[in-house]
Amino acid sequence: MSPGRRELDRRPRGPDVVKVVAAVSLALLAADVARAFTITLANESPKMVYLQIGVGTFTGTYCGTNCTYTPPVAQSTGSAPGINTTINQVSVSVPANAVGNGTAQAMTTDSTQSLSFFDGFARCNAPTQLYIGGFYRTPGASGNGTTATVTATVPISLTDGAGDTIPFTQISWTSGGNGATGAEPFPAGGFTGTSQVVGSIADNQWAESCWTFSYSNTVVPAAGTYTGRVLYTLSVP
Amino acid sequence: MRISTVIKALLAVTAVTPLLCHAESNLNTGGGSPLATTAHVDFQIAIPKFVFLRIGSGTGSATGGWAATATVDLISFAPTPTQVGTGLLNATAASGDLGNGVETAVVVANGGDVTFSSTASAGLSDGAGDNISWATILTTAAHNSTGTTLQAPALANGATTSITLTAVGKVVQQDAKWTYQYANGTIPPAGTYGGVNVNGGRVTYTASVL
Repeated sequence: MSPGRRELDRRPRGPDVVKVVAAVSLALLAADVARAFTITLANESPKMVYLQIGVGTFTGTYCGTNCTYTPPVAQSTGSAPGINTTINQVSVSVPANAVGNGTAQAMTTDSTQSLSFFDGFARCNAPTQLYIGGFYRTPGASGNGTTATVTATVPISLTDGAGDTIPFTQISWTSGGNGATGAEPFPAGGFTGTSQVVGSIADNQWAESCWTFSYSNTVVPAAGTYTGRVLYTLSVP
Repeated sequence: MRISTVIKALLAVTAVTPLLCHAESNLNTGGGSPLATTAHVDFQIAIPKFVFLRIGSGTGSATGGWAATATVDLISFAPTPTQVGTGLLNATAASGDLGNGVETAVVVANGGDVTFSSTASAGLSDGAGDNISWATILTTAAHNSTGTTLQAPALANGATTSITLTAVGKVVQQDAKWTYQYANGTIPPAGTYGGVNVNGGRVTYTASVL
């Protein structure tokens, strides 16, 4: 099978490694350009979906210490995705003299996750960016036509517990990451309703992005601390 | 060969580091349909309680740009001899930030109803024992930009006069253009009454939320 676009989406193994390699061969580095990161995985049983937002748990890295980035990438021996139930937060404290003035306020996260579990590459810049990534793997060869989608289930508003609200539509995000130059699998957007697709993963693919959230700050809300939880679901038919 | 050793050492570090992390990740396997897994993100926006008040020269409007400004405007009336005691008199052209005795007035707050008050001296004095009552200084509020026009608390000798600005959703966002006029219904002794923070010439406006 000839390589598709995602087969070309490779990257250096990490910033420190880049420095070493660059000292040896700039030509090699130039050939290993990073883009929005998706890469084809080798088909493998069982069928599996893995989703990570913020800091996650993973034994080792998917590609392993001797990752060649040659798709389809098989899962490295001993590596395994893990479950972690701690939920990260994205927050902002608006200065009093800026409340509702229409100047967007950058939000930060309490996530410390910058590294990708695919290969350990420092993809995101926590706490400015929130990592989102995962994979969809099937026993059959890729290209079977199924795509996993990530759907956000969003409350109408953030609430302060005292009857006051801020619409979730006041929150939006950009998408990027270190070395990202192409279209992101989890692109920029904003909350628009109670359910929306925020990204996708092709069959037998690892995909990841880094989100930077902001609060549009176009209304003057009552004083308070407003909270709300968004559920992200990665699913395949 | 030395470079290869360094690379391996760094890769070992990057591979081990994720094991130390904690947060939300989930997986699901099997042949079920649909096959799904989930993760959550919590969002938090902290809005501080604040109150902004502007009377005359200042920085900020009902929609933002708020900053402290120490400038205190002077509203001045200078009737000609033929005008003294003949009725309602406008302020001088240089009076107020908008001129002709007109002041920009803004209150924005997000802590519920606002108590808005004026505190005046015992009267405008000429320093020679003569006084003009604050009751003769009238304030008329006109629409500026907000749906609700900010009304002015009346001025009274040696008193604080308060009105309540009713919040909508705990937020008060009101402005107006206030025009000051002198009733000029009597003939006072000749003199200069009040002034720039002298002879009882200053009114203090206060906006407060609980």
